[in-house]
Amino acid sequence: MSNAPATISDNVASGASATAPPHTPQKASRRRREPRGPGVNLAAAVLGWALPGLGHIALGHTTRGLVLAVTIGSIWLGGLLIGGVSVIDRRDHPAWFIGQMMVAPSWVVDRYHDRLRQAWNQRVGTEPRVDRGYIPAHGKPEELGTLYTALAGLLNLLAIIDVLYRKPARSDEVNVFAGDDETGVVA
Amino acid sequence: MTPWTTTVWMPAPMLAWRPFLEPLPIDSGWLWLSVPLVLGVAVVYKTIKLPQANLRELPQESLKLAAQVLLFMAFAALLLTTLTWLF
Repeated sequence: MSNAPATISDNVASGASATAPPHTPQKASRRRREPRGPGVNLAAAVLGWALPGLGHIALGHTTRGLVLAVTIGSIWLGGLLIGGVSVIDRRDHPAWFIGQMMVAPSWVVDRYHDRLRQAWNQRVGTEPRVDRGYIPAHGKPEELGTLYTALAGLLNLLAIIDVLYRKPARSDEVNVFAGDDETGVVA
Repeated sequence: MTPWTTTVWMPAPMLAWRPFLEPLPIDSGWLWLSVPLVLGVAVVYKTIKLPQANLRELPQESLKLAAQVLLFMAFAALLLTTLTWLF
């Protein structure tokens, strides 16, 4: 072809860079995509809310996630052991429930407590001696059980905020939770 | 030959205790329950704050922070008790 540039000076004259090689489709496909903004791990945060530590494990921070799961889970279960299911009560203690609901299973326990209470309310007028099925906590067991479960929720909120902005364990591996790029690669 | 038996000592209220459905019978000694709570808070805080390279130091760092918090609480309690006793 007579109109193709033959030398570097011809390239410069035709407007192409003197040092850059001619553009080819293969080079374009190998080009690394730049992330559009800071990564926010929303799905990992949701996992961390559903089960403490699970968000960290999903991002590859297994040790950190396991320690969080055991510690926050133990505090939450400890609160339930101290005060029983009655310490999680959305109806009578909504302010404490704001803290407790940061651990998602608290919603399940609240529903269970509500069912126990409703069953007792239905039977109380019909049977002479009613087994309540559970005994609501009062005094110190109620205070400590509520404090333990609410504190577990607030500690999990701290973990959720941490996992929201934490980079995956290895930046070069594909992160399905990043959401800031189609490939999931976080720089 | 005497038959082999075991005796498990438990306080009487504990024998009837149903976990999760009834509160734990803690009439005295409830203050000691603050120790595992403080330890848990320290472990979670240090797990989040420590960089990956220093994660091996987590037990020592957590124990150190928990001890500091408990010592400060004891000091504050002692100070407030002294103040109320004096005035």
